[in-house]
Amino acid sequence: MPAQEIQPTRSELLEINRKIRLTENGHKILKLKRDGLILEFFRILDEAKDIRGDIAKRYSEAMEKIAVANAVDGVIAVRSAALAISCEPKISLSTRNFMGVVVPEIDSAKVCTPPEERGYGLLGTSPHIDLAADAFQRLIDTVIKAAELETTMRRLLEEIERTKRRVNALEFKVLPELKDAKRFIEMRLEEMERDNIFRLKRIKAKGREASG
Amino acid sequence: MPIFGGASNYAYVCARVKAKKSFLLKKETFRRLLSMDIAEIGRYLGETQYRNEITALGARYAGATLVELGLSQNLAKTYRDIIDFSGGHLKELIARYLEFWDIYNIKTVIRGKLTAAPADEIREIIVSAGALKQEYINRLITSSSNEELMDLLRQQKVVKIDEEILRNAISTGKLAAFEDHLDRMYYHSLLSSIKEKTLSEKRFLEFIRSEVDITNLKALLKLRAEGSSGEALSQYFIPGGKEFRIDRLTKMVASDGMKDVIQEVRQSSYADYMRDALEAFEDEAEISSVIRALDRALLETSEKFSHLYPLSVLPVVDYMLRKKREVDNIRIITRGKESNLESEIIEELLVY
Repeated sequence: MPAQEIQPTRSELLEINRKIRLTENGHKILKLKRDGLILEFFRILDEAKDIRGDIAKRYSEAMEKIAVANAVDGVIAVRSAALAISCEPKISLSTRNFMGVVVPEIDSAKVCTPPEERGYGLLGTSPHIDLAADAFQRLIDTVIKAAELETTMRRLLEEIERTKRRVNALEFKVLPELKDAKRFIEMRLEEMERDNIFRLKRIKAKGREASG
Repeated sequence: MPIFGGASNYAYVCARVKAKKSFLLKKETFRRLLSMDIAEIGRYLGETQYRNEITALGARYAGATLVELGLSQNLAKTYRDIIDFSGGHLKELIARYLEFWDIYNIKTVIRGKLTAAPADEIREIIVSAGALKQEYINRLITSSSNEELMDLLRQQKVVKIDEEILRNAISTGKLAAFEDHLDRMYYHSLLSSIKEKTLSEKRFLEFIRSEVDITNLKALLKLRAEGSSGEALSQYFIPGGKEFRIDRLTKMVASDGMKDVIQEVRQSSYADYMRDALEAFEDEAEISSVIRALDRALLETSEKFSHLYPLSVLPVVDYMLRKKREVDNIRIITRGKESNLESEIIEELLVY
């Protein structure tokens, strides 16, 4: 706040003191929020790392299983079985609020189904195709879980960045400016106090001279 | 009621099938194929009984797809030839046995039609090895509505289809019950077409009942391996098995763990062909090896029966199974190489 805009009055000083208290409170809360978000971020990061590993593992398992199914039953039979599956994985999307950050919650229903509910007949389809279908269903399940975690991580990162900027703005700009303004008003008020005392002394001395 | 008239020509058909059997690739040839790349396998097959199909498809396809399509067309042609040169009751038995492919084609067409797959895509995966003619299958593929498709299915007399199950499948798009019904009907119709007049027909019936056992055991193992259990699952099994009747299978599917299931298999006559696979299953809980062992058990059983009754349908069925196995083994090698599977894994997948 430029010095010329500041009114060096007692009410302004009270107002600035109130602002400083408010800002310090806000700064403390934002720092707590930032630390909380960072802790949550690192907790999710560990989970996300695990789930990335899971995806890589499940992907290679699924690819191996489909390669075996293609080899043993032929691409023709695998494609024919795939044609029987007309339903797509159903997911329902909701949100939850974490420290003011809206993060997604993905509920994946009906991705992993038992062999009798996959759409093709149980008797005429080879077990290798079933094993491949099962491996891919597990992979999709893991991908959906990873999507939830990674979106949450991205949202948390954005919020951490925003909170950090606010904490820094309060710590390095708003609070120092308010404190400068407070110092300026106090200094001006003290100066005005000294002026008054001096003026009163001069008036008193002049009154004494006039009477004496 | 017999579909095909005339006398059965067992001697002629068995002699031709025996001659055809001598052209089947030997175990050492598969080992040689394992060390070749896909192009070399394609070239090698171009010099064998697969030459015509590989040459005809060579302009449109390449690599593993060329080999797989060539193999499946050759298999279909081989089966059609056998139906063509056989006669009478023998022809009927063979046609009934090959109804498996008619059912496979009907399933594929309905799957494709209900998922709105392009006609060319459906046509590509049809294996016309059964009694249904290619033109009829084409009409099914190009049918413009579900009603037309159902009318066409009603017109054919080869595969018996329950009207209500078909209508239900087409209207809801849920095909599992319909497909299982077709598979059950296949074995029902096959078992009822065997008259048991002669000893060889009795043995053929015994063999088909063994096949039912193996099909049921595969379904049971796959259900149990994926954690499904309960007596309700017994509805999926095919009646008419030789050693594994529905009540025995129901007990197995309702049992607590896989140990009881394996113990039951150990007590059957198929255990002789499956000893190593069952031991491996107990160590690693991997069902693929047990499934392959069941396939091997079926091949061994068919070979045993074919030697016992050389002038019957049994040598023909044995040849058809071995031909299918040859096609499967070549495809396993080619597709395995295409997917960069290790040679040891590919070799494990082969069934001789």
